[in-house]
Order: sequence, then structure tokens, then C-alpha cells
Amino acid sequence: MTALFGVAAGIAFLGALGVVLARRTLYSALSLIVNMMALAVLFLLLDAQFLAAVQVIVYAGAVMVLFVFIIALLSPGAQERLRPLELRVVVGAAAAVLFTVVVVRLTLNGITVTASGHFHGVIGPFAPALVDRHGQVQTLGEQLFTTYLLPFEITSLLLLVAAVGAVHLARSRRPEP
Amino acid sequence: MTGPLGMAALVAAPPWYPLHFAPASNLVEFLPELVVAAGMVAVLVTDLFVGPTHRRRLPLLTGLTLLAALLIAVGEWVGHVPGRPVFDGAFAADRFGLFADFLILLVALAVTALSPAYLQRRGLESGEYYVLLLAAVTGMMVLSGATSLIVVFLGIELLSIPLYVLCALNRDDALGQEAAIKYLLLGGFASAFLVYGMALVYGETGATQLGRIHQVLLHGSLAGRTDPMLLAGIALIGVGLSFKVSAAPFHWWTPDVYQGAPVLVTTFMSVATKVAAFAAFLRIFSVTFGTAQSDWAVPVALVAIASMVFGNVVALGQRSLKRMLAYSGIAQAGYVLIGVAVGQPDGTAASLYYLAAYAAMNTGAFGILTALSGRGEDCDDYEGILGLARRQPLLAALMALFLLSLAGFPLTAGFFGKLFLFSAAIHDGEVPLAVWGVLTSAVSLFYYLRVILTMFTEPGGAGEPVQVAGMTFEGGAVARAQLALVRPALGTRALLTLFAAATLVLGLFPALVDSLIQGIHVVAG
Repeated sequence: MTALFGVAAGIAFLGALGVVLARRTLYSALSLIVNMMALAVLFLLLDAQFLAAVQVIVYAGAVMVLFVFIIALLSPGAQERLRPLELRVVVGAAAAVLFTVVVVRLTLNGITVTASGHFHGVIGPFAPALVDRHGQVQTLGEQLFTTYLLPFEITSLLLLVAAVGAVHLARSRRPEP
Repeated sequence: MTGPLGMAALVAAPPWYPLHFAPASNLVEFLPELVVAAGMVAVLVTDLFVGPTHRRRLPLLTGLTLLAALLIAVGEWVGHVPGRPVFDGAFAADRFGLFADFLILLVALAVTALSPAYLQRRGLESGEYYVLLLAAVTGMMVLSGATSLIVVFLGIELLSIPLYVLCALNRDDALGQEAAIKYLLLGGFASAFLVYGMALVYGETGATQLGRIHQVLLHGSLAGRTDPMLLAGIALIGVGLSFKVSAAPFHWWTPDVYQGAPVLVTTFMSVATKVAAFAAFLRIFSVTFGTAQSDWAVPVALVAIASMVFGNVVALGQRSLKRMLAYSGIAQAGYVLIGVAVGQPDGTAASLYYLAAYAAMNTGAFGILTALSGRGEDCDDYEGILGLARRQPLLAALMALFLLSLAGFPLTAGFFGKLFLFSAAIHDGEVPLAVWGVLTSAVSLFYYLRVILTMFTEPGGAGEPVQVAGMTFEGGAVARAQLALVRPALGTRALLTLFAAATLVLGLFPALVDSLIQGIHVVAG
């Protein structure tokens, strides 16, 4: 597990470096996908399967497709290389150092993150006790196809209607008779 | 609020089978909605495979779908389907929801019947129109029976998104595009309020099902005390729903959208949307949050008064028929809100009666504008209807009846609608609401009568200006506007006459519909 963590964390770090240092915008975006995939592995190691799946589907999938699309559409030229003492480099580095210090301090003070450590008051289908017993994805999946079956199906209808409406609006105007 | 929700169903399943699917009987109660949704898909697919010459069959398919759903809904009403919540408390086919479904389906049927001729005249024929119409109907029916916050939200979105697109049906009309953008942006804004409120209520009660929320408020830890987060949630949900029923001060989109959209779409959305949104309003506020009524009754009453005053006063100054009816619609929303403020059971019954009356008279009034609208643009100017009584006496008489009913004249539907609402308010001790209602109704008479006067005034000779009720009509403008109007076909006139008959029946024999309403028990979920 520790070895896997090391590998995933290393890849995430390299991906993040790539986002900042790549000279072509498209490579920056691709590096961001690498970083997000590695983060998803880290979430999995923390037993947060649902978060990992969402990370892959929503962030690495949908959001990044948009990014890449827009980059491809606008096709910006190569960025100029970062100079070490540029203002944005200094500010960014300061923010990163500050964030690291905060996280390290919190961890040393004994704040641990567990699936059920905090939300004692939560009741209902996603109560921590249930989630711990059945696992996150199982609980979610069961709820989706039992308690929330109707909303789930109506959502699919909603997406269909939105697609029909978008196509109708996007189609070019009627030709003049 | 004990025990893990939904897990009871899991226990009942055989040990080797981890999932417990909703039993088939749930589908029976959801059948009308299913039929409309299936019809929508059928129209979508048919549109793909038939050529333009066979497009004529789409309205027929749409009408048959709506008729089938109506028959099934009637069957559920007559057959005393228990109306218990199904899908784990997400949806209930109770008589309250079914009554709203009747109104929605009848209005949708009328709009479908008006569609082919209007769309052909305006050159707007497309298969998507019928798909989106059925989608909006599905959303409205889902909303009227929704007993879970999630389903309420999905119902509102499912009815709104098709309407946004329908507003922009005419791609060559800048006003229509503007209306669609305004409706979309403000509608999204209102949805955000609604979801925020729902999140707060869920956070306080731990449930999304209205029935369980009601139980928590009644017996749970929240019973008998005022919780600020819950009140904030109720307030935000109220804002979101007030937007959908276009009550002041959340009404700013209404005049522009009603005017910009094709009048056929306005006919549908001004009535059916309001019925569905008020069904959710009544169910959520009067039943689910009924225990907190002392907290929300005054704000709702203030919104009702604001709508009645603002709608009726601003309608006085309108020179566009659609805008006048839009402000009238805002005022009508204020009247129905009186019933919400009064609460169960009298207020709910009075609101339902008014909604039935509103469905008859407002569909009729907008329907006449739809039927008159010609090739170039919608019938929207007073110039066009000047002297309508001589050219088309039947339509002028019907329009006069619908407008008198909207004003609350005796012998019409609007009279008993308002009478029930005002007397419910007085019985409940909310006399100021009734007083404001009567006063603003008197104001509304002026602008409704102005339309009637215009219709029954003879246009002058060529070039002579005519004065009616403070408006001056130039001869040239009158001639231009009247050339644009058409004489509707026999079927259209028959349909509008049917709506006039309904308006009269509701005004002459109120017991017919009221006895239906009195038997309604609203299921909280």
C-alpha cells in the first residue's frame, strides 16, 4: 500500500509539475489529466471509492474534455518560459508553501480524516454507520436503484429532453421560403 | 425518523439477492406520467423517420398520448387508487395530484388542437415542438404528484427546460430569443434558491421525502420549536416556487416571456405551469410544513397581496394584449396564494377550485389570441381587436366571457373561485387578505372591460382616429393590424366554445366540481 501511495503521489507530483512547466498549453492540459488520475488512485487508497470514480468521470473526463476542446479551438501559441523571479511565480510559490505548512501542522496535531469521524449527526440512507458497513459505492448504488429509483429515471428523461432542446436551438435557422 | 431509510426493503429481499427493486405496482400509480413520457419518445422517433409530408400525424400522436394519459388518470381517480406514496415516498398518485393532472392534460390537449393551424400559419412546424410539449407535460405531472424534494426539483426542471426552448421556437424573432434567454437565466437563478432551500431542509430533518419531513416536524426533535435553519430553508423554497407561479416580487420575467414567446406557447405555459407549480406549493407548504404555518403564513400572505396589487395596477397601463394578460396572470397567482396562506383544508380546496376556473378562462383568453394570430405576427395589439364583435361575433362574445370571468363577474367561473378564496380567508380570520382581494378585483375590472369595449366599438371610416377608454386608434394602424388577423376554422371555434361552456358551468353549478374537490385528501408522502 505504501509503495502504491509513493508511486501515485510521485506521478501526481510530476503531473502537477508538468502543468506548470510545459510550454505548450495542450501539454499542460494533458499533464493535468495525469495529475487527476493519480489523485483518483490516492482517493482509492483512502477508501473513498465514490470520490475516486467522480474524480475520473467528472474531472479527468468531462471537465478536461472541455479544456482540451477549447484549447484545440483557440489553438494558442507556445507560452514563454517562466522566469524564476516573476511575480506570479513568487506568489504561487508562497501560496504553495503556506498550504503545505497548514496541512503538515494539522496532521501533526492529530487531526485524522476517516470516513465517519466527523458527521455524527447525519441520519438517513447515507449515515456513516451504514456506509462503513456496506462500503461507499455499494451503499450509493443500492440507494440509487431502490430509494432513489424514480429520481434516477426522471434524470435520464431530463437529459434526453435537454439534448433534444439543445439540438433544436443549435440547428441553423429555417431557410427563407 | 427511526431506522435507516430504505434499508427495510433490503432486509425483505432474499439473502442471496442484494437489491430490492421497486415492485411493479409502483408503476401503476406512475402510469399516466409513463404514458406521456413514452408518447414523447414515440413522437421523437416518428419525427426522425417520417418525411415532412407525414409530419401532420405528429399532433395526432401527441393528442392520443395525452388522451390516453387522461383516461388512465380518470381510471385511477374512479378506481380509488389509494394514492399512497410509491417509490419509497417519492411520488403519490393521490386525488390531489390527479386533479392537477386533469387540468394540465386538458389544457395540453387544447393547446395540441390549436397547434397545427397556428404553427403552419407562422411557419414554425417542427417535430421537436410536440416532443418538448409532451416533455413539459411529463414534468408538470411529475411535479403535481411529487412527494420528495428531489422529485419536486426534477419535476420543475423537466417542465422548465422544454419551456425555455419553446419560448425560442421562432428563431427569426428577436423578442422570442430574448424571452428564452431571460427565462433561462432567471429560471436557473430561481432553481438555485429552490435547491439551496431543499438542502437546508434536508440538513435539518435528514429526509428528502415530504412525508418523513412532516413526521420529523410533527414528532421529531424539531417538533414545537422554531429552527432558524429550517425557516431559512422554507423561505428559500418559497422563493423558488413563487418564481415558478410568477408571484410578485419574483415575477419580473413574466411580462417579457409571455410577450416574447409565441402566443401558443404562452397559452400553455401561463396555465399549465401555474397549475403544476401551485400543486407543489400547496402540498409542500400546507401539508408538509403545515406545522410551521404560523411562521410562513404572513410572508405568503404578503406575497399574495403584493401580487394582487402589483399585477392589477400595472396591467392598467399595458398597450399589448399579451402583456396585459401576463400582469393579469401575476394578479391571479396572488389570488391562488390566498388559499396557500389560509392552509389546509379550506384554503387548499379553494385554491384548487380557482385553478380549475383559471384553467378554463385563461386558456380560453389566450386561446382566442392564438386562434386570431395570422401569418405575420401574434395578435397582440388593441388595434387588431377593434370592432371584432362585428367581424367575428362569436369570438368577441367568448373573449368577453373569459375576461369577465377573470375579473370575477357573477355567473362565471372566476366569481365562485374568488368567493371560495375570500370566504376561506375570512373564516380563517385573515380578513385583510379578503379585503385586498376584493379591492384589486375592482381595479382589474377596468382593464378587462377596456378590451371588451374595444371589441364592441366600431372602427371609424378610413383614416379617422377612434377613441376608446383612453386609447386613441389611428385608422392606418387599425387597418394594418386587422389585415393580419385570421378567421379560425370551425373546429377551433368549437374548441373555444367548449372552454367557454366550462367557464359557465364552473360559474353556474359550482357544486359539480367542488364536490370532487371536497373529497380530496392531500398525501404528504
